[in-house]
Amino acid sequence: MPLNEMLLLIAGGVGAGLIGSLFGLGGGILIIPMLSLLLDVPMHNAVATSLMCVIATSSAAASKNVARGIANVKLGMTLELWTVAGAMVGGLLAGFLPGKALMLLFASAISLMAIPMARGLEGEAIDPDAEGNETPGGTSFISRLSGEFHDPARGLDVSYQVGRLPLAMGVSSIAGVLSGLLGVGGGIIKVPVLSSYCDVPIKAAAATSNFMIGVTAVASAVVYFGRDEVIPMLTGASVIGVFAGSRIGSVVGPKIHANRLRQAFAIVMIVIAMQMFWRALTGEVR
Amino acid sequence: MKRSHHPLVAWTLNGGVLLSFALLVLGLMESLIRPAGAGKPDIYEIPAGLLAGEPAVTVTAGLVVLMLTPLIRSVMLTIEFIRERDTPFAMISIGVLFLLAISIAISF
Repeated sequence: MPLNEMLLLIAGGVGAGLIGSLFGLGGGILIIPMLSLLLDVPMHNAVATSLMCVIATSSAAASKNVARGIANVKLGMTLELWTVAGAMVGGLLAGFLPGKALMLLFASAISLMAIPMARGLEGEAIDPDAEGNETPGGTSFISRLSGEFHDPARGLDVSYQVGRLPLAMGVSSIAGVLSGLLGVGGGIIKVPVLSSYCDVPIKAAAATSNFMIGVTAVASAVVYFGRDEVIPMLTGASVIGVFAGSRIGSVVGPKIHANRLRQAFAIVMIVIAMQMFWRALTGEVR
Repeated sequence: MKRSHHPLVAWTLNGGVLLSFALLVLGLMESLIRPAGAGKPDIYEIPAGLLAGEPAVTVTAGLVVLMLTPLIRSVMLTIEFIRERDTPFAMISIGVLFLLAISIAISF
């Protein structure tokens, strides 16, 4: 691989990882438009690359969240049954779809993600101070999914009981299909549902979702790998860039007011989606 | 001192990412010295290719390690649940491993 091409991929990955981390969208979501629109990489290869980036960023974050006890491992394993099954279906389904259809689906997905951000609605549905319910005693399956963690920002021990498990399972299946089909983590739909409807505090919801994302992405990444849709050098450079960018984002994120930039970024996402719609409908997509 | 939860799982995730990252960087550096093939090398070529310093093989090895990392952490959790005689969660984690095994089987 020529040095300039490698540096371009790493730099693009750093930008995508940094922005994805600052806005809580995950490392892979911007790498797909970057590869497919700017570098003319076929959609299936771009999705495979994104899945590898997702595994790297989520595994690194999950190691910390598991050690700190913020990720609810038992809830994560229970929902993984559904996300992994969904991701397998998504990965297999992608093999039957042409690149044009994948691009249209991806553009639709990022438009739907951008609309609540652009309208400033994101965050209103989630109460960041929600503590969930008290942890009950008992040995029933649902009560054993309850969690407890220390929140250093508020100096509190937070305990909660998980509610509406069937809803969480259903949403996890959909998130899995989206992950396998479009190379995204799926946290964008799991976290709001877990925190707003299943009584899981937002920090635990985000950490548990992140814990699941790595295994979910592996279930479909192996499908792409088996179809020879992983381009090693392109993927390797992108993973290094996205991983480094997301690490920078996790350090600088708390120091800057990313919320102020959210609406501007949402408009950028909508512009990217429009370009992808335009390319898919009028141009040639590989 | 704060208690670390699931230390083996956290260590597996961290170690897997670091090893993968090291192989990816090594492979990209090798590609500056000798040109890398465009396609994905066969998975069985990895041991010999690694020793020979083949850039695409080294990067592929890094990607394989990356994919194995969450898989191994699932195995670790399964062992933890079995050792704790926690039958429901042991069954669930075996179920996750079973689905991943199907995914791998249909892919290769």
